[in-house]
Formats: sequence, C-alpha cells, structure tokens
Amino acid sequence: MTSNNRTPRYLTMAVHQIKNPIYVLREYIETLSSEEIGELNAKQKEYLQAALENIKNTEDVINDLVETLRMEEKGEEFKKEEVNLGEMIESIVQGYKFFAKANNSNIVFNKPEEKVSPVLTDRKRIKYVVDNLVSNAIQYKERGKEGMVEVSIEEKESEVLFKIKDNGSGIKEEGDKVFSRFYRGKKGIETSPTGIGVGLYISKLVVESSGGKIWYENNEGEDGVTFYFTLLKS
Amino acid sequence: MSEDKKKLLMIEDDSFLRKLYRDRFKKEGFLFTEAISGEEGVNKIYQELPDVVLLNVLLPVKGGFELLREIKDDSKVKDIPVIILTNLGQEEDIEEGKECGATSYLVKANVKFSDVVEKVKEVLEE
Repeated sequence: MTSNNRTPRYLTMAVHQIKNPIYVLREYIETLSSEEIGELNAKQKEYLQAALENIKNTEDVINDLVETLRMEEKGEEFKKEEVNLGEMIESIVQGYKFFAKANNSNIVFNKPEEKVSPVLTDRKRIKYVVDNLVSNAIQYKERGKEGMVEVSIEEKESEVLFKIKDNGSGIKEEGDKVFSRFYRGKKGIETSPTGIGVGLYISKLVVESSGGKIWYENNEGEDGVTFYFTLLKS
Repeated sequence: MSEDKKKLLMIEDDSFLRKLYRDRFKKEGFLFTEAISGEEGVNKIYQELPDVVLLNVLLPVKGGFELLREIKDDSKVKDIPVIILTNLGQEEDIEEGKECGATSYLVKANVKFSDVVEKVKEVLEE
C-alpha cells in the first residue's frame, strides 16, 4: 500500500466520534427496555427492540468502517504470526452452524486427514477474513433453495489454499469489482441492506498483506461460487 | 448518611451520557459529580478528591491520557482509581491507557451500564 493511499488520522477519529452518540442512544433505549424507570406495554417493548436491532446494525457498519480505515492507516504494521488455519476454521464454522440453520443453510468443514502446516499471517485479521467469507456464503443464497456451504483447506508446496464453495446465485459482476472499497452488488443490497461493502475489500488487503492471493470462480456446471485464498506456510 | 456514599467523578463531554449516568449512579447510591473537559476534570479531582473517576479519552481542552499522566505524577491524587470509558478500542489505545496508569479500561461499544457499575464497585473494593 502506498503512503498516499493512507487514511488521514482525523477521519479515523471522526468515525470514533460518530460511535459516541450511537452508544448513548443504545444506553438510553436499553434503560427504557429494562423497565427500571417504568413498565412498558407489549407494543412499546416491540418498538424499542426494533430500535435496538437497528442500532446494532449501525454499530456493525461503523465497526466495518473502522476496520477498513485501520487497515489502510496501519497496513504496514501487519503482524506475521504462526496460525493454525484448520483449527481456526473449525471453530468459526462451528460457531456458524446455528446461523446457517436459521437461514435454511448447511455448512461443513471438510477437515483434511493429514495435519496442515501453519501459515504466517495476522491472526485477528485472518479470522475476520474467514468469518466474512463464511457469513457471505451463508447469507447470499438463493431464496427458497436450501443452502450448502463447504469449506476446505489444502496444503500446497509453499502455501496453504483455503476454499469456500456455496450453491447460491454466483457472482454476476465483472472482474474484481466485488473486492473494491464500498462496492455493493445487487444481491448484497437485497440480502444485507445495511452493509457498506467493505468485507471483501478488507479481506483482499489482509490476504495480500500476508503475501497471499484471494480470488473467486463461479462454479462450473453448477450454481454458486467458490472463493479461494492462499497464505504462505510458516 | 452521605458520608457512606462513594463519590464518583465522571469526566465526559457528552451531556446526554452524563445525564443518564448521573441518574443511574445516583440510583445506585453514589455521590455523582461531573466535568465536561479534561481541564475541568483535573480541577475537580483536586477539589473533590473522588473515590473513583470515570474518564473519557477524547475530551476538549485536555485529553484523557494527558489528564491521567498529570494526576499520576502527583502523590496527592495518584492513588485515586481511574476507569477509562471510551470509544477508542484498539490495542494501542488500551496499552496507552494502561501505561498512563488507568486502573481499568472499558470500551463503550462492548459494555452496558450494568458492566460499568460492576467495574466501579470492583475497583472500589480493591
């Protein structure tokens, strides 16, 4: 990343300042919801719950933005740690089982029989990448069809290859558009209207900062898309 | 009766948050006092000698970390526990807070009022 591409510090600070009124709003609504200053009727509770859910969505958007700015601001301070990708994936996939079921989807991790070598990357950030890819694969399914998501890893000569395959509607956009900052595809807007289109952008920054590659291919002869990334072995 | 009550100083520039915390900490049995800038905060620490301070970081005139460094350098007030309550949640911010002498560090996005009260009580018991 070139230095003139970096995010100014004032912008990062401004985003932090936006978080404050949202926190205050959440605190007020949670206080009302707790009924400690007066009882609420069912309709009032329902409305406050809806308000809280929207606050949560807004906080998620801001956190994504903070992560983006942070990656751009501090890209050069990227950590290189030994990470056991298999263990990380197993735990993330396990955590998504319930969410997948609620979305009429299944998710499996095809754990390799042989132990896969650790990779060199920033643990916290690569977790964000895997989490983001898993969450996308589950969410961007075709309406009315049962979703199927398969995650696997494979050891290559000098790197480890990560794959996540879904049976959704695939990617209609051309080239690498989906990895652009703030890019929102039609499907993304329909599925997750409050997102800001930085998940794949951050993922690309993270993988490339680790010396790896990230790309996707629409599945040949069947529905869906497969995302791949590679990371260097430690 | 008020002598049994613990005095909490909140240094926070957001008036809505101060109001909510004022109401709720009073309900929890605290004596609540407040400051809206780092500079006013330092003055209140010396004037009122609170039992515990709840400190924001991004504050007008004087920031929270600067305030913390200042009071931790003065034996008159250095033992007053300070809990940081901020939106800055990056590792380096937390490290800086600890280095400046904060007793505890809470990130607003990750806590509810009940967590803050619990932390304040825990710190007072130490």
